[in-house]
Amino acid sequence: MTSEAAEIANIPFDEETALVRRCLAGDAAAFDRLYARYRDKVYVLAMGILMNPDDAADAVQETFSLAYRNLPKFRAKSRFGTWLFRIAVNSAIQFSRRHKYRSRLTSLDDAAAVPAPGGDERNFDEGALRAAMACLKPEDRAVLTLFYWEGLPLEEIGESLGCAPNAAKTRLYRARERLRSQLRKESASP
Amino acid sequence: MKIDRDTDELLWAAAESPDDSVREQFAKRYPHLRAELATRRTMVQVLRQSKPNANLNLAERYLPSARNERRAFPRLAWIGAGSVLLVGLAFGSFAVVRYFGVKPREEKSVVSAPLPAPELKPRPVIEASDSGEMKSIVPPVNERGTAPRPDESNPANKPIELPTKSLRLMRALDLISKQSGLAFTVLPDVKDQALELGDAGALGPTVTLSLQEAVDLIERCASVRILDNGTEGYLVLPMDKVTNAPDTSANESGGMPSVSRGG
Repeated sequence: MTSEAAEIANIPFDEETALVRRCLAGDAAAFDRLYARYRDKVYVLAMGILMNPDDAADAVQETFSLAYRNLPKFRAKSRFGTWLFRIAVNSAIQFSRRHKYRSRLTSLDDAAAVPAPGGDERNFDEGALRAAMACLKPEDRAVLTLFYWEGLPLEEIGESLGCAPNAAKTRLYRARERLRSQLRKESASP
Repeated sequence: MKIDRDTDELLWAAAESPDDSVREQFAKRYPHLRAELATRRTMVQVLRQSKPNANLNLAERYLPSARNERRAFPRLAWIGAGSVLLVGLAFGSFAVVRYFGVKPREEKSVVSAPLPAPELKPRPVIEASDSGEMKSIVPPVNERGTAPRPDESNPANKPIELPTKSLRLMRALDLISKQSGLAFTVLPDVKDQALELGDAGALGPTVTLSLQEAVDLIERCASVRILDNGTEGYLVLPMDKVTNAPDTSANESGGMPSVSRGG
């Protein structure tokens, strides 16, 4: 048995893998089902990185287009969702870099939500958190989104970010600290 | 407040734990971090609650499907088709010109004004030699420049040779007539007289002149007027019959002297 045959034999047969195989065989409806299953999750992930509904919707569009085009490259070493998240994270980060100027803009709602100077950081709400998130790098927002919004374990976060689980843990720790520092900074700023 | 890395990770784990007992145990063990735990717990809760809802419009957006993707003509195919089309057009136009004898339209000059008349210059005569090569015969050049040598078949160009000693009017006219081939009609009132050639006589026994120079010399030396009579030659008349002679009156007839025929 060749190594490739052994690799195929070890692929876990789940429903998503079956859908991918059907899609590669020419079944258009199979990809429609994958899209329906993951579009909301990809949207939430893109929204966490880009923090703009329109940009997030565009990133979802780009993510699924890339996934469809690169579907023959999917080796099923990981879950389809993890592979798709990796595409989504890269697309959203690229999108964020292309539209960097938008990150400098803060909506009036977010600005009004920032706590008053000298306030207790324990009193911040969702708007203040969003303003602090907007000051982070897209990579930090990606790991926070994958952990807190998608609820992925560190192993899958590592696969989605293209790094080892330990590296993902370190990235998560640093991103959390930066967010907390940013929240404290905004609470203390006049 | 400085927190070491291990305690900090425990603090985050307690803040993220859904179990309240975990936080109570952490607060009992690290009472000085109770406030920090509350802060991080709030942050984690707000962070989790801020998860956006799904975008309902996503279902209506473009969905990449096999059907849609197959409709798209690949870019490389467009480039290839365009190249083939261009090459075909090039060969087609070449074939039309080459095999059907279609000549390209000549460009018309944008200058509509008539061109100035070219200067007339002596053209070389081109003859074919025996060896097949073209040979050009340049007109003969005289000593003074590129002007052609005078045609001696013309009577006006024939040199006139006159003696300088004891020359009379009728004898001079006779010599000029013989040498030039032109007729001189002498009016009856013209009298034969001796000609004093002046400076010309000091040149030698004879002097060679052109026809016009000879005529002018005779007019200066004798009191006659010699008029060009066209194809019939020259007309010789006495000076007193010329009413508008240059030395007597103004030129009233455009410079041409008039002849008054006396009795």
